[in-house]
Amino acid sequence: MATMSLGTYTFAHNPSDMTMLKPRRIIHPAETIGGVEFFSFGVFYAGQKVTVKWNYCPVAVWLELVSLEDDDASKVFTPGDGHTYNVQILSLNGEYFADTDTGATWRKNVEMVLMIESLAS
Amino acid sequence: MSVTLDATLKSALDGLNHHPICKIVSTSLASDIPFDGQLFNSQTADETDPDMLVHSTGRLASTFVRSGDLYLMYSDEARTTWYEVRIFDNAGISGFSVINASLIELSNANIGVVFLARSATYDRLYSMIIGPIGTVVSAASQIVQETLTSVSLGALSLCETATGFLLAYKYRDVAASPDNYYLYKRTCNTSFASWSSASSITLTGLISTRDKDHPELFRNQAGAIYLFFDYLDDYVDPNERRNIFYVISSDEGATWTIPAALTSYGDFSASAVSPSVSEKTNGDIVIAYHAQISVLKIGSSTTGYCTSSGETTDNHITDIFYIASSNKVYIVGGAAATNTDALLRVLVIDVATWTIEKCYKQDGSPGWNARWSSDGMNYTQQATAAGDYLAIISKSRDIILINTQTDTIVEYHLQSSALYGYTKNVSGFTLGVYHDYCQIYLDATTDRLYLFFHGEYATAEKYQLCWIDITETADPITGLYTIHELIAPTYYPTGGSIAYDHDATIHFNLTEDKVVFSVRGWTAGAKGFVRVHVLSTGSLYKTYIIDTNVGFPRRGIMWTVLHNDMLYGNVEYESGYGQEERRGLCLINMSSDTITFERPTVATVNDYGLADLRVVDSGINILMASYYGVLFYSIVDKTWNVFNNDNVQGMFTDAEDFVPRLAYNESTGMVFTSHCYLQSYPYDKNFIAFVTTGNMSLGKYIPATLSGGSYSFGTESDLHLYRGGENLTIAYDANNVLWNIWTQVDTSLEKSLMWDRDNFNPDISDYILAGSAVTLNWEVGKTAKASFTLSRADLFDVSNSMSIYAPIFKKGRIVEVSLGETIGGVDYWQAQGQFVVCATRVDYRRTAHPVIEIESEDRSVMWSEMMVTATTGYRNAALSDIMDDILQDIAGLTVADYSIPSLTNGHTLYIQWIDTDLAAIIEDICQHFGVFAHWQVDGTWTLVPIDLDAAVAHDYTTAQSKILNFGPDDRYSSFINQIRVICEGQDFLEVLWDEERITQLSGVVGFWTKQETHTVYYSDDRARTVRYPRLDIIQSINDFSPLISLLGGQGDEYIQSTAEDETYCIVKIEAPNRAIYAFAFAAAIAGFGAAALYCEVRFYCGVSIMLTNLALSAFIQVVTAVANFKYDIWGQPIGHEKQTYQATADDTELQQQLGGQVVSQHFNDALSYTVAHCQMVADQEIAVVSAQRNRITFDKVAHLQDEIGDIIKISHPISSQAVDVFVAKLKRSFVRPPIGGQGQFSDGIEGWRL
Repeated sequence: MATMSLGTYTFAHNPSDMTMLKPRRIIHPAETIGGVEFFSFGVFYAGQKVTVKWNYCPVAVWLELVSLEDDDASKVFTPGDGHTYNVQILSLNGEYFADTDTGATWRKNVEMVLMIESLAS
Repeated sequence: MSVTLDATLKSALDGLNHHPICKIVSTSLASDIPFDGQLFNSQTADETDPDMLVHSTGRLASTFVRSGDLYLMYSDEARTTWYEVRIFDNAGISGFSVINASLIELSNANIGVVFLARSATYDRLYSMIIGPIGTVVSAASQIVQETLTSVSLGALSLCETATGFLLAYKYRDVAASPDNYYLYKRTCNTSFASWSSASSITLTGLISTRDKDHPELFRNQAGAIYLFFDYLDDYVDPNERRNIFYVISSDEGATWTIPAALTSYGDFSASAVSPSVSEKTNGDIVIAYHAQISVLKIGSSTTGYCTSSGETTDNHITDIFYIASSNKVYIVGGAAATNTDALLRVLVIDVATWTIEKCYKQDGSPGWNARWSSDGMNYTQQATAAGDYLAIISKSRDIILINTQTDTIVEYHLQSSALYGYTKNVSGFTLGVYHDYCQIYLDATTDRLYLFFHGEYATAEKYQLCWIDITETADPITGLYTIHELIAPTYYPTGGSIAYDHDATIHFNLTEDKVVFSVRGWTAGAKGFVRVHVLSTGSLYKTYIIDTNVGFPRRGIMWTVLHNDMLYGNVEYESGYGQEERRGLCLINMSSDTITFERPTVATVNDYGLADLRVVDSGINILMASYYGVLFYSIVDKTWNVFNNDNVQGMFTDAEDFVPRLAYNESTGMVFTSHCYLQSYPYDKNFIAFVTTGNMSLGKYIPATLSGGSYSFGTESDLHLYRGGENLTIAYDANNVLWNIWTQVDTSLEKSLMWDRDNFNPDISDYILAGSAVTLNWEVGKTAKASFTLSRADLFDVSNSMSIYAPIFKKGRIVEVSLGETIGGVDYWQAQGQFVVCATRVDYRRTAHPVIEIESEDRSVMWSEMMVTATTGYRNAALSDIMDDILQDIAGLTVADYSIPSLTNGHTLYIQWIDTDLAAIIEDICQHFGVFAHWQVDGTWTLVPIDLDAAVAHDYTTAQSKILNFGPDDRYSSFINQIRVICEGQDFLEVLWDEERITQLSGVVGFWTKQETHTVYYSDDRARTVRYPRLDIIQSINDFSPLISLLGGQGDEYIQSTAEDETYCIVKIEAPNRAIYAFAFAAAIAGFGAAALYCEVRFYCGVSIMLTNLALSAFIQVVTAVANFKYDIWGQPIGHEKQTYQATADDTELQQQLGGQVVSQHFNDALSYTVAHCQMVADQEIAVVSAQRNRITFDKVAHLQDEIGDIIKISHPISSQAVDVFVAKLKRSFVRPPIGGQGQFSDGIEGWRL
């Protein structure tokens, strides 16, 4: 199984859960007095939110993710589906596991939300 | 009148499945070139010497110098935003400052830079390599160092060669005598690291001691290297002229052709310098440069110059005014050789573009009375200007007042002229002998035109100050303007005839509340004087004359100005009076009454011809014209500064320096003058302008077409709109967009970089915010509107100067909106019209993405703000001709911008619109003809009939799936069920006005009067007609008069008859005949007197004497008895009015429903002249009012065929009955939904059910 990467960081552990990546059809059905008309505005990756979750992850991985967020810049996301995506990190959250000590080794319920800016390749 | 769509697009819109698309393009009504420019920032440090390229990534990159450091200004790859980074800090080479630089892209996409740094002792060339965004890849490395005592270096340029790079730079050998100037070259390999030794470029035929500067290298697609540079090709100390030259190398810079001139500036008034070259993708090039202009000229061959029929075209100039608020110059032209002092023209010059904006002339429109022209002998005496107004007074004391904003002219006549067909039109003023001359002054703050009258004859040496309110309109009854007196006629302080024959000037100082009269005598024995009055009260403040001020010049001073209680005026010296020290400029300290003199240092002569004095530069200097050029006298340090042929390059085409009039722009230091004033003056007749500081450079460009391996050079055009630029650089990007960066020098001499580009018509559709609506609104009788919301407000924010997109939504830019569908992968578009950006709104906050809301309206949005003082008075004019005038002359449209249909109810018009706005004029036309104004989707304006009987344009009854909702809604309708239209015909009817007092008659009758008659005209000009005159006796001859009471009898007073033409009546006064009494008493005196003379008997003597006395007493009483009379003559003035017509139209159905109640609305229609016209308008109006009661609204799927004014057919949602709807309002919405959100592509209709 391919290992995912975000920016320059290759995940030490692939996430335990992630939104399915596929283009979304932007459609608006208009119900009229006599029936229905369909409006399609195209098929887009851009604007999709991708939630990446780890039930548990090492603190080292957590810190790498924090570092990526702190970069405050667009990243290339390579999920291993054959495409690469330009993404922005919208949020990164997690919970302490067992203790808050700096020597702690794990975090739990880590969730990172990405937004696809465009399909890079 | 629905929109004709592409068949494929129409088919898709008719279907059920849609792929709607939206495109918004920003464009401009004005052409992109000449560039007006955008600043990068508001920094105050000078930014100079830009050199630009377009990087292979698409980025723009330009080096420039700020505070001795070298910077890179670059853009992102999409060229939307500027960024700057310092790439070389001069702190690294102590004592040196970067002077200029050149850059070039290397094969590895890095950028090579060569720059010149200078210290007090040395010039050094450095090279360095940076990345595309300025990251230093290879630090600066010295190429060469020159000692300034031997060699100085200058501007430089880089280009590619087959094997590396070529560098050219200016090389000045200062060790030679005189200095020698060269262009040197060095080569370098592709590493941009190893530079060859220098050698000079052979420029055969050019003089080595003449400067060669600003080399610009360019290697074209065929491999030929061009070197452009500016060369000092003519020099006559101190004047210099430069032109752009070029040489070509076909061997990578080893050898060069003989230099050829690109530009051909022919005199010393302008030079071409600092070329920059860029190549389009097709191989054509553009060479841009700055025209260094020392003098701007306007003459009789300048476009826009005008001359009345039969007049001379000579550009004689009598007065010049600069108007700061509008940056315009007014020039009064006259004083032709064959036509003494006629007023030939008034020019309005737009200083920014240096073009003639307007030219008024006698037979122009508007024009002035023929008396001002050739044989009128009504010579122009003096002019004054302020704001939009220019006033000129003639020797005959006629005044014209030109409003240059509204293009109207008012003429004030202080006396009548039968020959020229005008009558006196001012009141409160009677021309007297002391009104022989007049000077005028306009005060824009109080809207007053001051008139300073002064006489020259021995019996009339008085002056008087009056004023006219220039905003006042003439009295509607009398046609008179009012003249107000401020200073009553006042005798000269000279007394007697000593001021006989004189000149005079007037000066107003509103800040110090003073008016200064300067009178200079110019015949033997005449003494001059200066009088200063307090303006607000008219009281006398000071008098200066030699009789009481021994230091004052005998002949007086002229052109006197006042500043800080000091007077400054010109002395015209006259020998023989021991006043040798009284020459030049006279200074009078009014606090101490001390009088001193300052002589201009430009020459030592008796007379300097100082004239047109004015206090300038915030009170620091006195500016004046003179025989020796333009003079500045420093009030502060008492020094003189002169500008003439000796130091203003190409000022005049002759050696004469005399300038009699001038004007001045303080903020730019620009002086406007001419030395053409006197009749038959043989010298340069151009009107000129020059700046005392800074420059008037203007960016220019020459396009060159590649043909057969060489270039065919085109003609020169303006690259920049505004003057004051230098060191421009240009570059074409891959889309053949021309980019330009230059240094702009402002009035404080601060140098700031500016940029601009052409083809600035970006498609910003990608920025439309998903989930927000692009909305288009059309409504009958209103301007069409388009609004939308964009993301990345930081890009479009007009206040973000580092955004390249910042200018595209400036107020007044154009937005073009298109909608369509993607069909089979192909986009099909239908334009929705052009809209003017009216407002933008941005809200930055940390918690939200910045978005910008754009509101725009069609081009008629500004018509309600376009005031029209008066249109042409149209008589029997076709609507299309009127619309041509209005749309082209007022709205500024071209023929291609509009189309006027032939209306079925059309007819010719008799109309003149006065004091209204353009929107109101269009509304008048629309209401009369039952049409609405409409900007069509193709961007043209037209009139669309409101035809409620037209054929159905779009039938939706078979496509019920298009209707989203349906809602009859007549909330906004009224109960009006009758329209009455009233108009005036073209025929005049005689009318009688209400009785009024016409005039008065008064006098006295005595014993001699038996009867007398008085002819009483109803007006001074004997033209007024009055009917039914009657006498209102205020005082009768019967009232308390000795004539009647003493001797009895009865007088009679009455109107005996009236004139056949009703212009006068004859009043008859009949009194008792008293002459018989006088005769009888005289005879009694004689008889009794004779008896008394020869009387010898005491008694009889006594009786005779007594009777003589009694008779004498009675005689005296008879001959001294008189009776006064005073009558008012009343009558009904006769006038003429146009006949009134009217017609009504009824909504009988509603009247019936209301039980016969008629709710009527009346209005006057200025475009109707007959009952038929009124009926037509009334029928149209009642149809609309009735239709509005059947208002329905519904939304449907958008169909780009539909537009307002169409009749469309839909089915009632319940009954399925067909309903025809006139589309009165259409709101079209496009929403591209965000993921998971709602989209929209619909038409909201408000219409009238028919």
